[in-house]
Amino acid sequence: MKPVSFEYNTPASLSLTTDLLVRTKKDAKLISGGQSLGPMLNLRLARPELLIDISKLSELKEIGEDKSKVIIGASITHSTIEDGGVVEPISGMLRYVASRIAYRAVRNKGTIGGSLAHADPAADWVTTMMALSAVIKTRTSDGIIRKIPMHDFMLGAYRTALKHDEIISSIEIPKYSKKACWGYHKICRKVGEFANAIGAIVVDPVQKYCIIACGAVGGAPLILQDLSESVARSAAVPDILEIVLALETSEQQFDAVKMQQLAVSVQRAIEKAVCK
Amino acid sequence: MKQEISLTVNGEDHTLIVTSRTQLAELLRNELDLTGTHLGCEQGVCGACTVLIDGKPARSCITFAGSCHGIKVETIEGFQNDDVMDRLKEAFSKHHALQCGFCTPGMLATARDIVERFTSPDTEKIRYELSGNLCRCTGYVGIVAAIADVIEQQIALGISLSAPTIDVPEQKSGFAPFEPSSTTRAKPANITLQKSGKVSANGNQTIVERGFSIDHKPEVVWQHFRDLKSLGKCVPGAVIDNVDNDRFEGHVEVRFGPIKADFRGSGTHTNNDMNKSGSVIGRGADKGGQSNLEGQLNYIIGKGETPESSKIDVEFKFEIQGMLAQFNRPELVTGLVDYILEQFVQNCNSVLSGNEIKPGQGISAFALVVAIVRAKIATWFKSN
Amino acid sequence: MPTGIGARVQRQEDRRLLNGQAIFVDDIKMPGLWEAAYVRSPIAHGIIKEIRKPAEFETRIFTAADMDDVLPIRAESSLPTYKASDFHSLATGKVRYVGECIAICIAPTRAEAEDIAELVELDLDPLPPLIDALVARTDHTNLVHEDWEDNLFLSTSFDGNIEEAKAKADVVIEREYHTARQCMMPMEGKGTLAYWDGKADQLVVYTSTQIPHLIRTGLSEFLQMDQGQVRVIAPDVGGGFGYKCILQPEEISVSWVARKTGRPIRWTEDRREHLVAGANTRQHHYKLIAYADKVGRILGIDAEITVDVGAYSVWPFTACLEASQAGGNLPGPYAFKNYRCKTYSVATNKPPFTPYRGVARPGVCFAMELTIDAIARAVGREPIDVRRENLVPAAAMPYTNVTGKFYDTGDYPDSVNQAAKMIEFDGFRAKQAKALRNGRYIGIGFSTFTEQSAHGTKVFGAWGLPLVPGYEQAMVKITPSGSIEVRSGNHSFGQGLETTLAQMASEWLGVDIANIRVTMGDTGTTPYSTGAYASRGMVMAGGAVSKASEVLAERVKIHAAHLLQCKPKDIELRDGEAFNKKTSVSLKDIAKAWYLRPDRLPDDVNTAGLEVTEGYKPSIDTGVFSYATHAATVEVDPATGITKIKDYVIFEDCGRRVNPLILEGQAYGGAAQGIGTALYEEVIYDAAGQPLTSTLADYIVPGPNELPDFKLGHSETLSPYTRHGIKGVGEGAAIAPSGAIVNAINDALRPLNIEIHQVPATPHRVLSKILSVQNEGVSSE
Repeated sequence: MKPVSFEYNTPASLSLTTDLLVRTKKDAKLISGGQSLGPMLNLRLARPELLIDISKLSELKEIGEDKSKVIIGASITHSTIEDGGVVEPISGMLRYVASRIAYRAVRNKGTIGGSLAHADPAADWVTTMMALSAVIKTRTSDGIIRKIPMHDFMLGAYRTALKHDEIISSIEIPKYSKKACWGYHKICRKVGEFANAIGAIVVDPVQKYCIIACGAVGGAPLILQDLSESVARSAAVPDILEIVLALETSEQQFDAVKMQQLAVSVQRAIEKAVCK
Repeated sequence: MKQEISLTVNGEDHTLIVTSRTQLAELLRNELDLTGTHLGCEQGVCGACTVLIDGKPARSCITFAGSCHGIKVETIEGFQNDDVMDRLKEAFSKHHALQCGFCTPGMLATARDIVERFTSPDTEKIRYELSGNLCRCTGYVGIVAAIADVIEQQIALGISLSAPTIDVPEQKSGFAPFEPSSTTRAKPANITLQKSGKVSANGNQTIVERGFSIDHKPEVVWQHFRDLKSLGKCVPGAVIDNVDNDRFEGHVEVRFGPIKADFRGSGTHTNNDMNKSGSVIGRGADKGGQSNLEGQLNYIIGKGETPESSKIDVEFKFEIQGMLAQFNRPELVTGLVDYILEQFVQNCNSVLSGNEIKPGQGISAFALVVAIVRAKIATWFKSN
Repeated sequence: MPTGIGARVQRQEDRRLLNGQAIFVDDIKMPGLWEAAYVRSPIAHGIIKEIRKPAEFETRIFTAADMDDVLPIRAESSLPTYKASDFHSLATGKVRYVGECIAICIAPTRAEAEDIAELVELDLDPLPPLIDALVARTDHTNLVHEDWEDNLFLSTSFDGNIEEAKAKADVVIEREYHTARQCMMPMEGKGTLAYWDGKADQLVVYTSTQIPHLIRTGLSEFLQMDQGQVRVIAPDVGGGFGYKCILQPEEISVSWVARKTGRPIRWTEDRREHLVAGANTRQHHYKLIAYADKVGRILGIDAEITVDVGAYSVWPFTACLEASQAGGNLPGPYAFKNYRCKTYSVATNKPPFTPYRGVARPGVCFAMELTIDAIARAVGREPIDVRRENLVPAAAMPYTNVTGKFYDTGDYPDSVNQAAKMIEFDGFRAKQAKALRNGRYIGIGFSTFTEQSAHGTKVFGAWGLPLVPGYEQAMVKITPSGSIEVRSGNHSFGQGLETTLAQMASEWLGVDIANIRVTMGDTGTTPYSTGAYASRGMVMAGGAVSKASEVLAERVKIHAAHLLQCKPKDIELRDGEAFNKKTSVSLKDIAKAWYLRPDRLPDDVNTAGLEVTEGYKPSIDTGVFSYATHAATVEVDPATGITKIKDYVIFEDCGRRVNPLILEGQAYGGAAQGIGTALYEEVIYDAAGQPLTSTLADYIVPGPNELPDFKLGHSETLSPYTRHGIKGVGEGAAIAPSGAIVNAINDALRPLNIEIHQVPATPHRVLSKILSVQNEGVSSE
């Protein structure tokens, strides 16, 4: 199980990277931590002619904050976040989520930007970033910088708003107040394996903010707007039926078991935020 | 494609010329004769190939030579004068933490990292941290005991950790009810397309039925549909090479995220001018991946809501066999069908209005072929 | 410290494994070595119309058409009505499962070999696949083997008087059970390296196998070579579990290509190949009717067992070992008189069935143990009481059961009592009721089994195998420096035989195992052995080493007595020396005298020397029976269907324990695999016969979080029929978990009126049952 032959290029800067993306006639693919792409290469499901390594670009390694937001460079690894290497926009949530992605050896290499660009519906960061209303900052070959709200970023399974020559440079996450709560629950068959269902909630009574997101669905994570509002108003855990109804409005088709798993993950996430 | 790289392995510097696709594990085993690093799955799951890269455990099966320039690697053959590793090896033997021993080198790399990061021999934590290393022989009993034993030894010896973990702050919960602000940052609308029709399965065949409308007269649309070259252009990812009466040859590119496959084949295109219906039947093989694809597209064109528009009902049946089929089925198809259909309709409108077709973005019509049959293949490693 | 029988010593093999110095097949370096990759069938069933080789690689690709001097693998059986199949090492005429080898491609590296394999074009004409064994069983038109009249390798029946039981029964329990198809998943896949040794004029085959001598026999038969021209070496083997216990088609094609090209060739199975082409075991279906009296005493069992044995009959165990064993072992440790059983070994378009750790018994134990609990529920009693009362009582030993199994020794009911004590069964019902009041569903389950080990020649003969295991030989010798060499044709792939065989020699010779070297796995240097399977290693190879060591010890004593001027019977061997009370002579000096200074020995010295080869066979020919009871408590989350194992205990008896440390490891490891069977592992096929679980993300193998902290207890009831009273135990712990865990799940879900009858009891399976009961108010599966 070895990959097809490919060329490997490690440009020295972000602009050289985007230039290469525009210039090359080869079927090129960006690689950062390579923890999703690697197995697909070995299985020959991914068959690029050129891999462009962006894991070493210093422009993608920013870690910072200002009054209102936290900034995480695209090539910051999950384990850096797990170990508390970035400022938390809400106490403990990023560390909690990061520590439950795959396995430590994978987290040591896998990056947050790579995960978002890969846009796997069952990935942890896409759902978490939805709940946190993160903004994806990108750059194209013309030097154009875009700030794409997370809910506009992921379009579907493995589909994002990124253009051919556009790279995620960082993720900006709004800061929440000290009174803010969160909950995150995922259902997996085995520790570290893909999720069958993910529920996430971020509530900030000071900012009057409440978002419930549900992941591991057919496409981009769902935001359950009406349910979010009702949880904010009640500060109580809704019953399964109410969550199922909320999920049904998404018009996605789920079988009974999947629907139940999604609803339970959402309910348990809410429980964690609500229960004192 | 070869390239020169320099790296340090077990304290020794090496400069090698290797093919870019060489896995780090292969490089260690074949170029440097360090066969203690084992390949167990090459899917990043089993952990047998785990080595320390720049001091941290990582999978050497999904690390490729191209990315190894400048790194420091420690393999099982290294760890010279490493007291922690020596204690682990002795504890592994004492607690019978290995049977066939194939997983052991990777297990020890992870074990060493655990011992370096955790201050208490909490077996629940040890089990969690070990979850990325599979052992088929021991049931992990001896492995967990050995690691706990070494942590205890280190505590008894007063050895402090080189990279201790910091406890995650306790999660805050409980809030008073409030009226959510209308300025809530997230936009609720999950884009919903107009949908009609259904997706179903018959045996191993997937059947997608959809209806949509196009802003051109049925006669015009019909001429477009009965001309295979014209129609083919509108299907994202399809190329019709030769048309000979009702027979054709062509290829379709299947793209779905990083997955790509190219099916070449032939088929027939038949039309019934009487009721403006027809079908395209094709069968092809993937030149690389040993997979087969069979598909049939049936369509019928009728009057639209206005005289200037048409209503088109399509039924697309397909079946895939071979490697691309050998994964579990997720629920990814519906969204994709709509996306592809949208593109198809746009393309048809463009062609009929005399405009150029814009190249699609990283996805082809036949992505749904993969989406419906493939596994969580991309889903396992939710990271990049 | 003595290192003989019973010593809890660390393993001899650990050092090289811990230092990365073990040599597995893939680690071997050899000048001119090329790697092989296979073109495998992408479809489950079809006619091969054409295989097109790309012109530029014509000489690097081989198909069946090239290998015209090779015979297909054909496992004959003496059982009446059995149909043998021709299993071509490269598909010929038809392909019969996804993953079947079609062509072998060679290149300097595996990546390049895979590049070439991708260029081979296949023209296959698909046929409708046979995927469901119950459908294939009665299909006479769609055939896996087109020259057969049906899809049955074999059907057997055991006709007891079930009418009597039916007439007397107060309770009738009728159930259907399913067990999933599995992969054995040794961490090291299969691997083979072959080259032609010009000097020895031999084909040398390094292969990852449990049975090097049998592979030699098989290779020479199907390659049509004299056995003298074939040498097979099993180097370090990374787990076997049965997977490496048959002759693989790849072993033949790699050997053939190496011989043909004169170049060393290696094939290393990758995980995808394993999960697709190695999906070959455990899949059973049961229709079972149990008749019992009003206290739950079993009066009779009427069973129909269907085993999905895949496309071909494997060599040497055939496609029918599984069903034959299932039919014979279903009654297990239970004493009842009326038994009727039909078995079907059904051909389907799946990889050929291969016996896996526990062979058939994980299935029959699951079926039987669930039935016991169902009977108990029907008569309103505790399952543990009904189980205990139905077991063969200790007083009845030795006991011949309804299928003629001769149970040598043991106290089966006591194993239930001990397990119940360990898991704190007293008080559990109160705890359970309290939990339920808090909305939590906890349950307890038990599972008892016997493990026939070291089955004798008659037993194997009755299964009709083409090759019946018989005696086991071992060679033991003292080197001139006084250390010991043991040679066995058996093989170790994790069971620690290098240590335990040394312990057997240590027991007689009084030499520390650090000074005992055990050589195994090389047909060029070891006595013939049919290999390591069927829990026979310790009883058979251990027995042979023990016997040879005993003979050697007597010879040593004669020399020692001469050197110490006393009688041989006064000599005691310990600590590497021969003692006569307080005077002693070291084994080193004795060896020196024999090898280098025979002038110190008497003129009439026994010239047989310090090297002994002995053969061994237990005094009965029907196997010896280990037994155990497993018990589990679980909590089932009714909202998600997720089962969490809370406690898991094993109480086992395998006669004399040679090395407790290793035995415990076998129990933990076996139980871990059994839990995989119970809750996680399943090869899923779609209607076209495509396996959908070709990665480890899809085929779930339990990791450290999915497994409990096992608690283990032992008793030692020696077998009177084997040396030292040893019974085999390598497979046992893999047998019981499905029964214990699913019984516990059913116990937990009893308030919801739900019974699970299928493994793995995945969250999806449990949850869909809960949802369907909630929606319809009925339980159905």
